[in-house]
Amino acid sequence: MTGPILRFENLVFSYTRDSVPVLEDLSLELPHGGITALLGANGAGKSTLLFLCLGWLRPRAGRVLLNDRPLERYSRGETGRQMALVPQREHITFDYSVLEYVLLGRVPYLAPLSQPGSADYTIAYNSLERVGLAALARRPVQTLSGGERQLALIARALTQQPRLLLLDEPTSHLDLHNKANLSGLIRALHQDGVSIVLTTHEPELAAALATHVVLLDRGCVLSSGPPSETLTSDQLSRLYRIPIEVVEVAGRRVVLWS
Amino acid sequence: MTGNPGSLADAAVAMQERVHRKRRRILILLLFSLTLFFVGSLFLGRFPAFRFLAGSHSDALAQRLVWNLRLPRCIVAVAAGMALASAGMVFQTIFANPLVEPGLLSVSQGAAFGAAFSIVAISGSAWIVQSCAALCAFAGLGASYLLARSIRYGGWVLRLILAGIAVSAMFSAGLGILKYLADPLKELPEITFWLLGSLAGMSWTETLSILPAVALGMAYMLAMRWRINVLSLSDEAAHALGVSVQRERMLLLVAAVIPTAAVISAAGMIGWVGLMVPHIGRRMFGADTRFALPATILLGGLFTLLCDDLARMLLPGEIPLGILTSFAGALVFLILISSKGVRWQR
Amino acid sequence: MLFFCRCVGEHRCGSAARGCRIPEAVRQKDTAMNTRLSAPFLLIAFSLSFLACGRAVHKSDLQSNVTGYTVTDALGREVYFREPPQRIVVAGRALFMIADALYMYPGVSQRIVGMGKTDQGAQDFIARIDPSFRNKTLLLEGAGPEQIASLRPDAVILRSDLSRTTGSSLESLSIPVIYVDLETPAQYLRDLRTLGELLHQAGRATALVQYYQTGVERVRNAVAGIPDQRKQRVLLLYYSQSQGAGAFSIPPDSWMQTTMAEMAGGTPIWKSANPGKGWSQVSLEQIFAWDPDVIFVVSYNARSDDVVFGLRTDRNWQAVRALKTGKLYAFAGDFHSWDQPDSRWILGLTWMAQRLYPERFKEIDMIAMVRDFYRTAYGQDDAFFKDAIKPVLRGITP
Repeated sequence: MTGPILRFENLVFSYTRDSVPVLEDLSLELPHGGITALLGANGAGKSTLLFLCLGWLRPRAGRVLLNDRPLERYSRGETGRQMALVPQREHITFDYSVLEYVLLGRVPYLAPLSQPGSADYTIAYNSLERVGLAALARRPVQTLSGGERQLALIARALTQQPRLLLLDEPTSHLDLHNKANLSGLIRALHQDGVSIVLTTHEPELAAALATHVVLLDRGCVLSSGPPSETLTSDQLSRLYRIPIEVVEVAGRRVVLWS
Repeated sequence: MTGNPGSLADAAVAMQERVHRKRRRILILLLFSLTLFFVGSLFLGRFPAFRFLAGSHSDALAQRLVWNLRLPRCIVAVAAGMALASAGMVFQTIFANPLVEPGLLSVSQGAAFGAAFSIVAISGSAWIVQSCAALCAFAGLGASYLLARSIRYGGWVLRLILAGIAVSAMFSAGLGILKYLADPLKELPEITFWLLGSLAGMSWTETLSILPAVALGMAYMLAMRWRINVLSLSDEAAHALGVSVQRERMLLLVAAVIPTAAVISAAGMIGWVGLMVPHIGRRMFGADTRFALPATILLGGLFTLLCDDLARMLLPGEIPLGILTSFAGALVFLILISSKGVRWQR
Repeated sequence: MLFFCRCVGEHRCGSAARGCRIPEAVRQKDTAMNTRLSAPFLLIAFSLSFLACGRAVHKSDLQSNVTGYTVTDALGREVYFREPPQRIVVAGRALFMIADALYMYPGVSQRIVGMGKTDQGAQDFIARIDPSFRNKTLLLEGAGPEQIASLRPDAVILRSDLSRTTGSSLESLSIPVIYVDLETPAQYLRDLRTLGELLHQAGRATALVQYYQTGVERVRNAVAGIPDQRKQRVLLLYYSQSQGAGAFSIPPDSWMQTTMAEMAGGTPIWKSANPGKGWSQVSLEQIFAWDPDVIFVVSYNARSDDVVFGLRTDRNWQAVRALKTGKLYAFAGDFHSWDQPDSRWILGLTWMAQRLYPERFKEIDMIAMVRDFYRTAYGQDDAFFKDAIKPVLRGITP
């Protein structure tokens, strides 16, 4: 499938009617089948863009197109089947088991009054295997560590069998080991053909993973393109307003700042 | 990874199926116990003495007593327990807060105000008291909802809870005024007894008037029993899973409030059932409402029936049901939070 | 089983050995105890027997040659009785009023099997005039229909406000229920007649009504013709302890106290001041603002004369005009205060009128009237007056 998987056209968004707009006249195209990193400082509007993409927030003006179709034309179930969200963190009140928790990803495929069957459980379990949590299937979710919880959230998203995976700051609170683990998983998913969009404020992560990078500065697109064009010293310096140097070490981009 | 991944998945799913089967078996056991207890309650009582069972069947008074007084009363006890417990579980799941009760969004206070108002100002029949209570319960829910929409800050849940508190306070004040104005001989005892919850004098008309509402609400909740899990997630997550969050939550709330309002309007304020029994259900069957909800429903019926039996048998006079449910509920609660938590089915 | 009398319980026999008299309608056969074990059979048997036994209560469909009679109660319901009830239960709240009215009919004591509390925090009048009272079943205040039904009554007398709750339950058990109001003088006389019909003693009812009407006429004639501006401004206060301090309340317009004040030729100044339907508390400022000519103090649990004694020495009350003119009275009473819609309301009315207009009631001797009342209403002689009434009499100096 060619064409951008996501297109934002002249988006304007503010949280309340009279507050300062978070996004102003933003237009963007995200390519299909890649790993897109939305890079920006805190408060740049990255998560907002993600929620607009999901349809959870409605723009004041402009529109969002998924696979060249306006978001409003999709039914709720359809959007659930097309894209999945991995939130940054989730507070879990009740002690579901990991499998039960991940099973919730089957919601878009089940009619409101029906119960999940063994096929659904199989898919959920397979997602757990994919992320490497199969051994913890019967454990309560609340006993999982931070990194494991993140993996569980990804497993739930995978259970939705989406074409587009949205990750909101997936590694911000993870240590290096888990970060590496997660990065490996994202790459593997990319190989499987899932389009991935992730938000981050760490240029290193974008450098390590992304095939396409979008720099967001205070609600506007600073630049959008492959890492070679966007993850450059002067682009990043402009974005973060501090002197940043990007060097290539052993074929990988390293970001240096002082 | 050694081994065929497919077979690993099958093994895991098969294990899950076994767990489900075990849960279902226990549910059936619970249902059976409830039925047994129900039939037993019909014959248990201070008056007439138990032995009348064995005697001749021409004791017309005893038969009428069982058929006209006890049977409707036991039915309402079970229905009330089921309605309140299921509503409690739905409320707790939707609000992702295990300390929430079905009366939260001023449903209880609204119903109390409505009943007191009809007793003092209109002094009509039981029908009028019931309808007034149900009306005001929904008015309370509606007012909370509308007020929540105009609150500026906080998430959806916080706004609803704040609005509920405000509207409850208004109804509470109104109730205080009504109690002050009431005739102490005629109306005040009726209001007080109603506020403490009582199933004394439950007749067939009252029973038949609340059963449709209870059945309807519970049918919807049972049909949605798995989907309720999703609504305990955050707004964005639930939305991302393809659920119209506002609409489904409101529908479930209404489905939970309808039986609650009906039960409160007929039997008064029976507390703690909606708070406590969901905890027990979750302890025994896990957090998945697919099994926890039916279990909670059955346990609620059992619990309330037991309390009502005690209410009419412990002393010659009638103990208000609400007192017993509060007492028993608090006791069970203490035991629950101090024990290590026996997990039956995981 | 502390509260059961020996007579109730399982009526397996129709024997009169213990003095049980079970009317035809509810007598059961004494069968052997066949234990039926099968539950489904029971269920089926139940349903069938339900279908078989009728629900008729009011009109007779029993084949019998005995002509019964119909009683019309305060709610206008017509209740049929084949014969005068022998097992009467009086239940509900404040039922001493019903009990006092019932006991004015001779021979009623043997026919009552269950009653609630009839004292009002002090001594029990019914216990004094009925030695067998102790043997009756004492119903607690919250007595439910099941407990009442266990006494197998053939008539239950309730106040009309219980018709929705206890009454309707009892009716669904096909137990005859008679409702009374007993609130205003007119209702009192009407309900007295109802009770007379119930007990098949219409003659006695007429005599009692006559007695009351004579008393009312006497008062009415004596105070007739007093112009409104010359009427005594009356304040009736109910004293109660709340939160450790004394509080005074006024009755609502609909209660006997207000009617009594008007019938006695006074102007009840608290009329329209009570927003609710029960006692409403008033402050001392309000009492000063009203500045009544006469104040009556009523108390149910404490002795009213003790209360008035305390008021006379109370600093705050010194400026009250009625106290200074000596017109602060403790409301009279004996076992029960005479201001309530109890049988003694005629005494209360006469006493009140005499206090308001002593010159118009000079020839009335209250002590004699009290003696006469207990003789006429309860058939009690002077010895009873001396032993029982005089010690608890208050508000009148004998």
